[in-house]
Amino acid sequence: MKASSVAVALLALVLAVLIGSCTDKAPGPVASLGSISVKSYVSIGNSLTAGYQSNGLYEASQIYSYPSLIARQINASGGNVTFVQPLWSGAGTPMTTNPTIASRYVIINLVGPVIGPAGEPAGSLENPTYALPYNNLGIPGAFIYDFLNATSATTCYSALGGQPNALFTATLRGIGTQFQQMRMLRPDLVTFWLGNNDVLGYATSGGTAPLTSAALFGGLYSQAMDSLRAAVGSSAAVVVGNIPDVTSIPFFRTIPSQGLVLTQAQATALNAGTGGVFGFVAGVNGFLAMTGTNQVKKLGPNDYVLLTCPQDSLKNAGWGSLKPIPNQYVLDSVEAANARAAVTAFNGTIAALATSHNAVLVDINAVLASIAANGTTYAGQDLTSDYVIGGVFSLDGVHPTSKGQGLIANEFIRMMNLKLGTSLPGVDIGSLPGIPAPLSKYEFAGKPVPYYPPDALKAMQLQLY
Amino acid sequence: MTRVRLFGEILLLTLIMASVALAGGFQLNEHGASAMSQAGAFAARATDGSAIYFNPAGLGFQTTPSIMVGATGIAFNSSFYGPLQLNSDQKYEQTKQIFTPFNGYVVYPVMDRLTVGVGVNNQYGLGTEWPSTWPGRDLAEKTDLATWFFTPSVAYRLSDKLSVAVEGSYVTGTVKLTRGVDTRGIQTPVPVNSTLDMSGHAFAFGGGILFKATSDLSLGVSYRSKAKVDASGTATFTPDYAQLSLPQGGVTASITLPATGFAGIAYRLMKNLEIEADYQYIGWSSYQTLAFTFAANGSTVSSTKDYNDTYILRIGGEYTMAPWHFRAGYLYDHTPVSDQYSEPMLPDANRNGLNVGLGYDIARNWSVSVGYFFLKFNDRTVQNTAPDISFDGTYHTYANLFGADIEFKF
Repeated sequence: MKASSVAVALLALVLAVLIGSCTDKAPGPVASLGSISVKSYVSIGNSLTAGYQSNGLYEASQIYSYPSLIARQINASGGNVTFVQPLWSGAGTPMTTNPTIASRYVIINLVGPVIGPAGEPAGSLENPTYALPYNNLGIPGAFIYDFLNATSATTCYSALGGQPNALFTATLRGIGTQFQQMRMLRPDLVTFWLGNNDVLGYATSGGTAPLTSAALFGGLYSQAMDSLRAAVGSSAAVVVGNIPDVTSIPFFRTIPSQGLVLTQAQATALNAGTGGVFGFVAGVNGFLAMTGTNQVKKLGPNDYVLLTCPQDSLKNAGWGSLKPIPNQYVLDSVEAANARAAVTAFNGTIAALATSHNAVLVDINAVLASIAANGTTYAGQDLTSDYVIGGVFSLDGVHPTSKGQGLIANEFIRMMNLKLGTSLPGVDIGSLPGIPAPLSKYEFAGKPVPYYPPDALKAMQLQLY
Repeated sequence: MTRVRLFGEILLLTLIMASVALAGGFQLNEHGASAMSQAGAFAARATDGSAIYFNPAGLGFQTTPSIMVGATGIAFNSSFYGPLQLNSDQKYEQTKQIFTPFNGYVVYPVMDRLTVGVGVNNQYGLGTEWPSTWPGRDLAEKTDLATWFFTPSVAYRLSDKLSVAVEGSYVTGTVKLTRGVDTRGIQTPVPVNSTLDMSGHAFAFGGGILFKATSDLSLGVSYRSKAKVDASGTATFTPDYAQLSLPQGGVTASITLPATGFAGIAYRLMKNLEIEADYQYIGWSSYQTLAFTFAANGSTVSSTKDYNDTYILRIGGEYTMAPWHFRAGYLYDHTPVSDQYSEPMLPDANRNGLNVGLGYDIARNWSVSVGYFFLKFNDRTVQNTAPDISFDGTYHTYANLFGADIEFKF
């Protein structure tokens, strides 16, 4: 055997392995729209669809609305859809009580924390003269009734109850209802998520605003689906979202209903003052509150104190003990049961009508319930339903953050992939912004200077590595 | 204005950093070009200075003083396709890096049957680097690990057939981990990154037996104990937002490098051709959890690793046509990492390796060896990764290794 022939043989062997092994593979799904074609996409909905966040609508939140994220993923998978939204500049939409000041909440001070509108000047609609209807026809405050009926601030459902909603006029611009404008765009993909406000308005008002009856909801939703399917034709893809259990959001979960901590002396005094019917004890007690039927009640685990309840009054003015918390700040157990029953009934309607109208059903209720119960983790990042730090819900405790919008978009995409044969990639939740915190409001010599005392977040617990 | 007090003081910040870079992928078995060229199947012969790594009993049959010095160049190529959580097949590629573990051995027969030696090498090392904006940024961004083993050995030749040896190693190690910090719901003006820069040292003990059963057949076994490295260093978070109360400063961790052992059998098939088959055991089950303790707030955070004991099968040989030596080998390396705990900081998988090499005796005293090693990781698709990882997808990795050594005999 010659040395050179041994060397050549070995070399050939190595080359064979190299060539055989180094070719890159492309495992898993390839991003594609599958057999469906999307040339025009329209989203119908309310504040959740509009990208409303932290009590306001503003461009920095709207660009992460779930329909906008879905459109982005469609275009990243070979699609070419134009998705135009009614974008609000700067700090966004104004307060109803003061048209020059933005309504959105910001973290004013992480100590406390203090959260609320910061007196920012309101923005304006950036593209009011856009020639076509907006692709995102999500209008904050829209009820199911509005889809076929509302054309302006004064014809929307809430206006019938005495509360005109200027965002209808701003978004619809006098060229028809949500339904009519959707039809003008000849969509081959429609996402439809309405109905939340039909129960949410009741819940967030502590049961003082009307709850849409199941019968009325069923009738309106049926009309909406009939009209929608007739308008877009049988080949268009229609995807509908159902209604989350409203009591799972931080708006109802942040202030505990049993947050009254008493000494023995205080408990004795309160019992004496109330005839002993509430049985106050030293330690943790339920707050006293007015129920929807005008009874004073000691709150239990199935009652909810709303995020809007003034904290100072709870702490300093004897609310919840010397003076019952007013009804509008409490969703008592009866009202909560009403809201849950409505959600169950509405979701039954939505599921049945989705099936009969060949629409894909997205069970957002299940997704948010799972996050409320267990949170979710993705690539080492935790997301929970906790207020502010949970990452899913914005500062109003009701509407999702951009990350929350990403979770919703991913559930829509997951169901579309499952039912429509598309293979769209989900959104990288980690790349979406959380709630901006004023950690470096001022700069000195180019370096951020802490705006708040260093112990501001002392309570933060760390989980490292 | 809504003024809200967060009941339960729930502002909570997680920086789940799942692991240190340390595993099958970070154990290095390339400590001599001749041995590497034969797939590391060397414990039953151990005929050069690298015996100090493979089987120190081999020193007992080395009767001339020698010095051997060399290095291995390791070029990794690794990509990730996913994450499946996002129904994504997006390809993310690691920055290509080249690592150069060093090896140096001095062998000296002090008396008729007694030979001593000292070895210096890097038995654990390497690193990974992913794009800073990739979806796994909070799991891994840049990771570097290096260890130095200083190993004095003593071998005693009991007879012409049997040698035994003991050795001890002084181990120093450094590890540097960089990755994103998950600030939960809070959006910081600039994303926060963390870097842990730690070092530590430890001792390990080992030994070996080499038995030349016949003139054609030899058997060797060797063992090295695990080494518990108590590492300490500095945790740096940038930017350092004081409000986040990030535990800047001291950090400690304890990392146990696994025990390892070889059992080999070598046989001379014909006058010029020797072949050897080895089984290497690696006691990775020593690596169950990894805990970091931060001095700033005394918090300890641990994560589950749950590694398994594992093995490498090696077969190799050498064909001699003086002054040339032709070497080749094949190995199969079984991963210690389960699917559940697979993560991008260490994209490990079962591997197959193919080796070739050449030795040349320049003169009576001088010889050089070069080797090439192609290491292919099986494409590994992991699903249902542990909740604190939640990052499923496919890892595609291979490496090219080039080794060279020069040996001088006195």
